[in-house]
Amino acid sequence: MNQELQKQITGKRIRLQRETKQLSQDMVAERLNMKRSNIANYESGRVMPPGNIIKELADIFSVSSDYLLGLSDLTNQTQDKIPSGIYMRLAKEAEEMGIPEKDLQLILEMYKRFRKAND
Amino acid sequence: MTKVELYAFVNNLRNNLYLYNSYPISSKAIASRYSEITIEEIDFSDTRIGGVLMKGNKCSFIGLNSCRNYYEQNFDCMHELIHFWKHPLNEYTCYSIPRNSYLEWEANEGAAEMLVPYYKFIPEVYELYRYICNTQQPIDYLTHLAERYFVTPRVIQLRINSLSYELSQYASGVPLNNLRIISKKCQERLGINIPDFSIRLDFNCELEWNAVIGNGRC
Repeated sequence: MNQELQKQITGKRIRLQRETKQLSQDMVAERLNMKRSNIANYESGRVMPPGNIIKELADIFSVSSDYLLGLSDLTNQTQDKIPSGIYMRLAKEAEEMGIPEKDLQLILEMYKRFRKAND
Repeated sequence: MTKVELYAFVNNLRNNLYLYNSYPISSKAIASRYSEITIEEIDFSDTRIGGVLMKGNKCSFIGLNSCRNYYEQNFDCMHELIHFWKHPLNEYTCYSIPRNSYLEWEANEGAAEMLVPYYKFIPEVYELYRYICNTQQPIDYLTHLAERYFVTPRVIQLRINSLSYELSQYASGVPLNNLRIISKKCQERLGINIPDFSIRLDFNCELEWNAVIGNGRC
């Protein structure tokens, strides 16, 4: 994919996700601690957001970075990300039972596979 | 659910799965009959972790600790299967680590009854007890029974302890079908205090002490 095309796709997807989540450009800009015009530039495809901004936008919209970059058509990030409530419960139980961090990570990886299989 | 109800639940499962005459049984083989269950072996560093169940609407995952041996995994897997059958909670997650809770009691007692059914186990233990009484020779009954049921000696030890009241009834002549099956907690509530039946199997100590103090129970 050439850079111009990627800028256009990323811009469209940012706008689509922002509107879907019923957020204004001002609201997103405030979350990212930047000017509204930056968001407008991203959405219009004039400027490609840097990597850290893509990641923050992905978190705000609960989609994958790959989706925003046009590298994946899957908007849903649940395949890769554990909801914070589930994570907290698993981590809390693990801590209470003295399960080592290494083993908790193995359980979290299993949980990701489990979520993927149930999506 | 009481102990007798739990055993009836397990017996119903056993009949539905055509396991009645299939002992010893492999929990993994039973789990593999369910297309919606995926079994994984996970390289946990903590050997206390038996298994993990994640139960979902479409697919459920059972993770077994690869550090544990076949007999341990057989019980761990059945423990998770009891959760799977008995506790239909969406995305239920269970770390199989020893802890006290009602759900864990059901999973442990249910797994024990599925792998080591009381109707087979009690007559066998009683026969061993009679053999020990007759020969006055100690035998490694824990290993013998563990290998017979594909579980660890620790499971057999706990099973004998859990069934001590029922074993005592059987030893007193109560037929298998008429045994009063009640949990330890219920026994406590009813003031029933039966010593661990394994005392009778371990070198017959109880018989000797009974002879000393004049208690004619045998």
